[in-house]
Amino acid sequence: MSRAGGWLLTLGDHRAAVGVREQVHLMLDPAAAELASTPAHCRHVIFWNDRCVPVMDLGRWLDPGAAASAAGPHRHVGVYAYQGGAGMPVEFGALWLARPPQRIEVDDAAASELPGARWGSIATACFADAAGAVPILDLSRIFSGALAG
Amino acid sequence: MDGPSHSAQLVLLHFGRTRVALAQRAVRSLEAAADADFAVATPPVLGTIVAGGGRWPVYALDDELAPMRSVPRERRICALLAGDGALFGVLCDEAQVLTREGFAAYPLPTAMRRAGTPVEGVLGGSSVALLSSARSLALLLSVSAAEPKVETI
Repeated sequence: MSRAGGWLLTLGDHRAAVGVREQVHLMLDPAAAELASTPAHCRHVIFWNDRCVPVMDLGRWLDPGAAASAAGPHRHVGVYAYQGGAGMPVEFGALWLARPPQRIEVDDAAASELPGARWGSIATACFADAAGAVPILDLSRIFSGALAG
Repeated sequence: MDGPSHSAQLVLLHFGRTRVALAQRAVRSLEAAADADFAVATPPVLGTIVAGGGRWPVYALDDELAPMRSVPRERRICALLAGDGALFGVLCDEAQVLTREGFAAYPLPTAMRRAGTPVEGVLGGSSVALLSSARSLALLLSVSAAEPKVETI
């Protein structure tokens, strides 16, 4: 049995997790620019470390009828690192968060089913804690353009 | 290529709250929207304008860069853009010439690329604008060489 560290994220009304090394920066009060002609769940960018980083609203993607996270009162942005594959360059994407991430430890024994079919597009695995299922995000897929439509 | 990524001079067109930067060479001229003839509209073509020895179709984009079906009367300028095979006009609120100095150009992140979007990149700096090209806007508006370039003066 093994344990791994991670971050518990609040995405609108949903919870999800990423690996401990995937989160590289947290902005509590981000200055994000909204871009026209972009998908409803990915309307903003931040300029960070000389990069233009897309900010994904996964709460909006999971619940298309939900209000945009950027318009909410508790909007933070987490910046995440990912690779498209072994040997590929490290890339960065950001997520709107309803509250600051919480550090967690996850045990293999906590593995569970994903809470719904839509999560299958954006999560690689899932575990459960006392509050329910927590999908583990597939960041390279989320930022690959597969959700852009 | 009329893409703006490496162009030293840019023209910033304002469509409502959205600002789009094009390479200066993509903009043939700036005309007064009042000079356009809006008597006959077949959306997305909203009218025509006579300039540079021809009559060219005129379009308008809303602030999501979707073609408009009626003439936005508050747009005072008609930017005449040079597409692959023809010129075409786009109504805008304001047009500014910028130098690239002080701005950084980035490709549009993959996660933000919608099918058919005319947005090619993002211009960051003291303010933010979208980067596009006359070719991408012509594709969006379905401008072709066969558009009504019908009269000469």
